[in-house]
Amino acid sequence: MKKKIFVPGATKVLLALTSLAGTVGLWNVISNQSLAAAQKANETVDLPSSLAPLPTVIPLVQVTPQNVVPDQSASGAAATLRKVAPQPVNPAPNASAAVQAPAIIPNPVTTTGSSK
Amino acid sequence: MIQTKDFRSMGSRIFLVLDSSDPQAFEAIQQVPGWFRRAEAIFSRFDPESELSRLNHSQGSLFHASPEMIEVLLLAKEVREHTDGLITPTVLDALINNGYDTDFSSLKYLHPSGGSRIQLLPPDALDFELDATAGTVLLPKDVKLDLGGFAKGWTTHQVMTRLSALAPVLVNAGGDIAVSGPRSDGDSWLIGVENPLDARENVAMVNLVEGGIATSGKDYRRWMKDGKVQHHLINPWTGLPAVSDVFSATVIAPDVMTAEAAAKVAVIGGSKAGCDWMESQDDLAWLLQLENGQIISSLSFDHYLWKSLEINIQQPN
Repeated sequence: MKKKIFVPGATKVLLALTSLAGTVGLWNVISNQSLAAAQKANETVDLPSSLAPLPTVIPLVQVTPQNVVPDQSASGAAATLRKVAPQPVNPAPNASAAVQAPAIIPNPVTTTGSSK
Repeated sequence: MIQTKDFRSMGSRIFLVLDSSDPQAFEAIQQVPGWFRRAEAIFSRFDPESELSRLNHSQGSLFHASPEMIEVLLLAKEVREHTDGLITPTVLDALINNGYDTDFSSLKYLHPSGGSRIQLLPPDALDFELDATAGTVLLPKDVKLDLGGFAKGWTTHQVMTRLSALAPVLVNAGGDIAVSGPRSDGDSWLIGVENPLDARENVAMVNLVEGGIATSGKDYRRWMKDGKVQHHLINPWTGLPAVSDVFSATVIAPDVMTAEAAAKVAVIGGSKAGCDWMESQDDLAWLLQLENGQIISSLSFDHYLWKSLEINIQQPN
């Protein structure tokens, strides 16, 4: 007959916690590996061609106080036009770039001249 | 991919471009110097053994000519008739009397004075008889021929036509340019028009799809005689280098032979008569640089312009 071994309650709790921690830790390691693999796979994608172009920072429609019409139904109070800051002009990278660049003259295939 | 060939023949720099990487085209392009050498052996007036020299010594007796010679003489006759005798091959004596009596490469230094001016006959009197069917030519005793411009234009056109069977091609013989058609990618050929006062610059650039472009002027083939500047464009009515207000003329035409002849009409005839004549012809576009530095062009020349290079092109009144 097998002899019954007494296991204290604290040991049971310790075993249960160890088992839980191991399960969670193992899961975390596995999931991190999947993430790393996914990131690695993404690195081979040609981003510029596969992504849609980013929205431009320049507004397509310029808003001025003259073309903003107040919403009369919003309230009975006299609507006041919201001030729109003037669109700043992007500074040129340098002074010479602000001047119109000369046209690039291509090289002709050949030239015609007087009986050379 | 393009293939090019660059060499000298007929007193000019020859440059050709074949728009193909085909090995057969490469083989063909290697033969081109030989084609030009053959033309030079026929049409050179400086080679005493050339067919033209023998023809010029046959005055008064029937001469049996090669098919190439017959072709160029037919062309010369047609141009002469079309230009009322202004462009004619019968100016050899006038050229020699004005000092152009040797290959131009030997003529760059001042030529000693001497020689008498010829007593000119009316241009109509200077003619030759040609029987294309029999292949014979009869030069009167007082007529000698210079086929320089005609022969160069004709040879350029011939070479372009032969190579065009293989690929799009451009042939430039000393400024006379023949183009077979659009390039392999469908583009036109971009061609510079040299500034006659400074060959490092172009006064204009034109897009040419097919046909010919040629420039004639007083700027290059000139020399000194009796203290005066002479040039190679002879006015047949005076027997002297043409005096006109046109310094250089560039003409675009359906073929390079017509372009070459028309450019000479403009320089010899002057801006008024030259422009009137060119406007009366079909499909000519022209740009003239006048003696006073002014540049004028036909309205149709704008159609070919890539972009005006800071020049003030005007339309004639």
